[in-house]
Formats: sequence, structure tokens, C-alpha cells
Amino acid sequence: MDQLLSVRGLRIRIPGAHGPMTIVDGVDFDVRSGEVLGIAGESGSGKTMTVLALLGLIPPNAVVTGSATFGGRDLLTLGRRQLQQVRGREVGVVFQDPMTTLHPMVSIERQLTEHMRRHLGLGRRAARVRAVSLLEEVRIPNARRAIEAHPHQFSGGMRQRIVIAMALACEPKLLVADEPTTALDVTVQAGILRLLDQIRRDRGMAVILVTHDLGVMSSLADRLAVFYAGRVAEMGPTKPLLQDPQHPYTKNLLMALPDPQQQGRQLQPIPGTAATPDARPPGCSFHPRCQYAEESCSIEVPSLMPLSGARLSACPVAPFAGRALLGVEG
Amino acid sequence: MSGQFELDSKEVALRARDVVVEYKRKHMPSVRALAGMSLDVLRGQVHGLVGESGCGKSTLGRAATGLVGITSGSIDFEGKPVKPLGLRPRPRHFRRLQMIFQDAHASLNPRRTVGDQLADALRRSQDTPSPDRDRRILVALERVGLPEAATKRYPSDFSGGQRQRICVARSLVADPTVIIADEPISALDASAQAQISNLLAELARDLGIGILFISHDLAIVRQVADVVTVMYLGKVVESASTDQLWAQPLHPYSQALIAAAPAHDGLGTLPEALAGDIPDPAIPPTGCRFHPRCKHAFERCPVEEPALLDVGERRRCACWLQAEKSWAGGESPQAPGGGSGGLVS
Repeated sequence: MDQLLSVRGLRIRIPGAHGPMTIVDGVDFDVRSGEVLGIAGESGSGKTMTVLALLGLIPPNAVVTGSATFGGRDLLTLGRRQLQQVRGREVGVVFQDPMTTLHPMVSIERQLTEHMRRHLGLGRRAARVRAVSLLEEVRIPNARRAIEAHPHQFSGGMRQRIVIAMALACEPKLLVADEPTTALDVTVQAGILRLLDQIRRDRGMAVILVTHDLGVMSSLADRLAVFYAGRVAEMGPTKPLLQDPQHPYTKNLLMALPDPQQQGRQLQPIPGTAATPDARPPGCSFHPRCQYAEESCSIEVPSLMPLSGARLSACPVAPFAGRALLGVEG
Repeated sequence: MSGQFELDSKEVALRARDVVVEYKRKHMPSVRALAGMSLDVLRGQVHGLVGESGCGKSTLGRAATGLVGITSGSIDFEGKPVKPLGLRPRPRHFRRLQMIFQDAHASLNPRRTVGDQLADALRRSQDTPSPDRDRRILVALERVGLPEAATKRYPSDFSGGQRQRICVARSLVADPTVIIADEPISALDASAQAQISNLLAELARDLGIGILFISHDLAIVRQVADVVTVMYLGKVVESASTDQLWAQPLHPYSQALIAAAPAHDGLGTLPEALAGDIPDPAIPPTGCRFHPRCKHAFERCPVEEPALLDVGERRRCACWLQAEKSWAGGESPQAPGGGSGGLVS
């Protein structure tokens, strides 16, 4: 499959109270055409900053190094105007809170057609026809009337559908969805997940899905990258990764979650607290919380090792790590 | 805080009966956030309260502590009616009814040390200064797993999960019998969610505190709650023990909630969506409030509202399907007078 986006050595530093903080520390990943790549991690792991950097949406005082090749260009070196051509046109974005994405005083029609007219050069009438069909695609009832309404007239789930319609308007090759269902009720979330799944299959569109919710990941993502403290701990196809994690962090994270099959099991929190960006431990950032840590873990930053089944893990130490390497796949 | 809790005292600590909370609005119909809601919180039990946002679950928690006044019905804490908070100090008795909120950061004063804030809470919970003040603060901190050194530090020195533990410790110094926990874990990461959920379950088990665990996260509620009440648009649709509810949810809404939660099993199954949105509580649907979204709705549902009936041991459900089933089975449904009477215990 062809690579749509190739990120190499992405590093993001922002000035902090005690000197520069490394928010993202050398991240590599690829997104293939038509696949859903999930970026999972807890708050502060750098998952959102990673995607914001690709879109040129991080604070101006941040220092970004590395490369992100998309359609023959490096997104990290593009100027403001060139980025505007990419955002909304080639890359669509959906954020967590539809109420802050949508302008409360502007009609849905104007918000939905503004970038279509700009990027696609459509006239007013053509843009409107297209907007109605997009609203129908995201299953907004009475699309013809809905287009004249304002955001407050819709429920949270409907608003997020409108935001998705906006993101799809210019037929992007890549959709970036940052916690798209986190602000929604579980019943509404299920509808949005089904919609996103349908759309990406119909359009053959690639998606970067950023969320802390592994249940959401399990439903949508083809591959997962698990972030911890600004680095990728583990990466690979969703099913084996969730069923047989190879990195102690992933394994611990799954143990902390309620198990749908087992009731009344005591949840097992990960010992210690998450490494904050201004105080990341040397070596493997997870080692102070890891029950398998050895002396070497606090010295050397482990790199992602290839395992079988297109999997990668940044732990050479844990006794179960590398089982996939030996061909004992789950 | 002292001694082990005797398990024989599973008495009702907080009792809500037919509670109605109405918000009046100018030039618009008033909103009934709670439309006749009954529930019992027993000592030593974690009572999960679930439902979509806007169903009134937080309003119930706030009404139970007197943060909102009730329009009709009754809420009793240890046999005495809870009065809305006013300018006067809360009666001493109600100090054993405590609450923790979703946003621990906003619940703590950023400019006072943790020790001072716990001392404030202790002073408020007592009429005479406590001679063993420092010791009680340390016991509360130890209970939630924080070191003594925490007393000298400020809320900003702690992570989100630790801050929520400070809030729990602050409620513990009042020696509570009931803690209302309104979405206590929603703002936390997975590991901190597990810690706080385990902590609250421990408090119920070891100290005999009754905990009303209000949450939209069904998976966590299933892990920590002993009994669960499912709410829809200001009313109870089903209440059951946690095992029963997941083994066999009876109300179509409970079924939909459980089916909508995605599993992290890596199998790529998409959760089942529930059609439609929660209706405007100012204009609730006629008959059964859930009927416009229910796939099993039939002629009777939009016409008559089903009562909350006993449908088994310590189990209740408000659905015409269940009501008709129990009539067909030759049993007469036991409609409690006006929706009151003993609830799931």
C-alpha cells in the first residue's frame, strides 16, 4: 500500500517554566492510503500535539524538528499560505468539542460552504447543493432546512455530524479526528463511530484517530500507535496489539481498564504517576512505573524494535516482550 | 473513621421519594429535571446512577445534598429531610452527607495548602475544636493513599488523580455516612480512574459509607457498583443489582446503553447506536418517555406511562413489555403506591 503520510523524527519543544520541555520526542509513523491509524495515549503523552504539529496549529513558540511528508511536501516546512491549501482541502479536521469548532452566530450554510467556495471555487448555489448532500451523508434529518439553522439548534451529536460534514466537504485524502466522540454520550458516540466507519469505507479516506479510549480504537482503528511521555511505546495492527500487548505500558493500561468479560475484578491502576513533560525520567520514560525495569532501562532510550506481524515495540526487557518475535502470536 | 464497619447495618442512609425538581423559565415552559424519582442509598453500598447527559442524574445528586431545592417529594438523610442550602450553616447532622465533584481542580482552593483545606473541612464538621486534628487529617490522607508531606503542598503540585484523592480525603474528615460522587472519574486518565474507583469501593466496604456513584461510564459502574439505577429523562427506568442488570437488562433503554459501550477487545466490532437524541425535558414525550427511541414500542407506549414495577427479587423496571409479561404469567404486578416503597437493596 502506498504511504500517504510519513512522519520521521518528529520532535516538539516548547519553553516551560524550568527551561524547554520536550513534548514529543522523536516519533516515527506512517499513514497508508485508506487506513485508520489510531494514536492512543493518556493526557500529556503528546498525541494531540503530534497531530496539531502536522497541521501547523501548535503555539508559535514551539520548536518543531523532523519531517512529515504528505503528497511530496514536508508539512513541517510549509508556510502559512501553503498550509491553508492543505488544511481543509487535503486534510480535514474534527476536534473534540463541536461547539467550539462551530461559530455560534453563523448559519450552518455559511460555515459549510465557506471553504468549499474557496478551495473548490464553487459558486453559491453549487456549494449549497453540495452542502445539503453532505448533511444527508452524515444523516442530519431535514438537511434542506437544517442548513439554514444555527449550531445551538442542534444536539451535541448532530453538531459533531455537522463538523464531520465540514471536514469532508473538499474530499480530503486524510481526516484527522482528535477525540471526536469524547464529549458525547455513549449512545450518541456509537452513532458517530458507525458514521465514521461508513464514510471512510465509502470514500477510501485515511484517518488519524486520536483518542485515549481504547474501546473507540478497537471499533475503528486498523493500526494503533500507543504513546507514552512523548514517544511511541508500541505500534501494530489493532487486534493483536490489544489482545497480546508487547510493551509493559500497554499491558498495564489494559489492566487498568474495566474488562467487559469480567465483572467485579479489582481494577489494577498503573503504579506511580505519569511522567509530566517537564520531568521526564532518563532512559525509558516508563521505567519508574515498570515492574520489569532493569538497570539499563534508566540509561538508554529503547528504540522501536520490529516484531513479527508488522508490530513494533520499544521494550527489549519485559519477559513477555518479543513473544511475537518468536512467532507465538495471540 | 475509626474501627471496622459492621456489615449488619445495611440501613438506608439516603432515601429519595418521588422527587420532582422543576426549573422555572421566563416565557418558556418549565423544565422538569426530575419527574418523580425514587432511590435508596444504603450504608456500605456503592449505588451506581447512570443515564445520558441531561437525564437528571446530576440534579438528583445536587438535590440530595441541598444544592438545588426540590419542587415536591422528599429526600431524607438518616431519617431527616434534607433542606436546601441557605445562608445559615448547615445543620450539624447533615455534615455526614458529603459530596465530591468531577473537577477536583475547581473544588480545591489553589492558594491554600492541602493540610489547611482539610483542617478547614474538619473545623466545619465539628462544633468544638478537635484535639486530635492533625492526627485525623493524617488518617484521612493515609486512607486515600497520600503521604504526610502532602499537607504542606498546594493542589497544583498534584496530578488530577491525586487531586481527586485530596477531595475524597476532605470529605472523609467529616466522618461521612454517605458520599455523593458526581462523575468523580470522568476527567481522569485510565489509571487514575481505576485508582479512584477502587478507593470509593473500598470506602464503602471498609468504612460502611454509602456511595452514590453518578457516572455516564457504564463499564466502570459495572466494576464498582453493587446496585445500579438507570435513569431516563428524569425518571428511573430500571434498577437492579449490577450482576442482574448486565446478565439480563430488561428495559430497552438499559439494553441500548449496554450495547452502545465499545469493548476494547480488538475485534473491531462497532457498538450499537441508539436512534435519536434525548428529548427536550421541557416537552417530554407522551406515555413512556422512551417510546420515540425504542425499537420495541407498540400501541400502548405513546398513550400510557408505565409504572416502575417489581419484576423480580430486588429488581424494578418501568416498561410495558415487562408489565404485560408479568400479567400473562398470571402474576399481578405489584405497583407500589405512587412509586414509593422499598427499592432495590
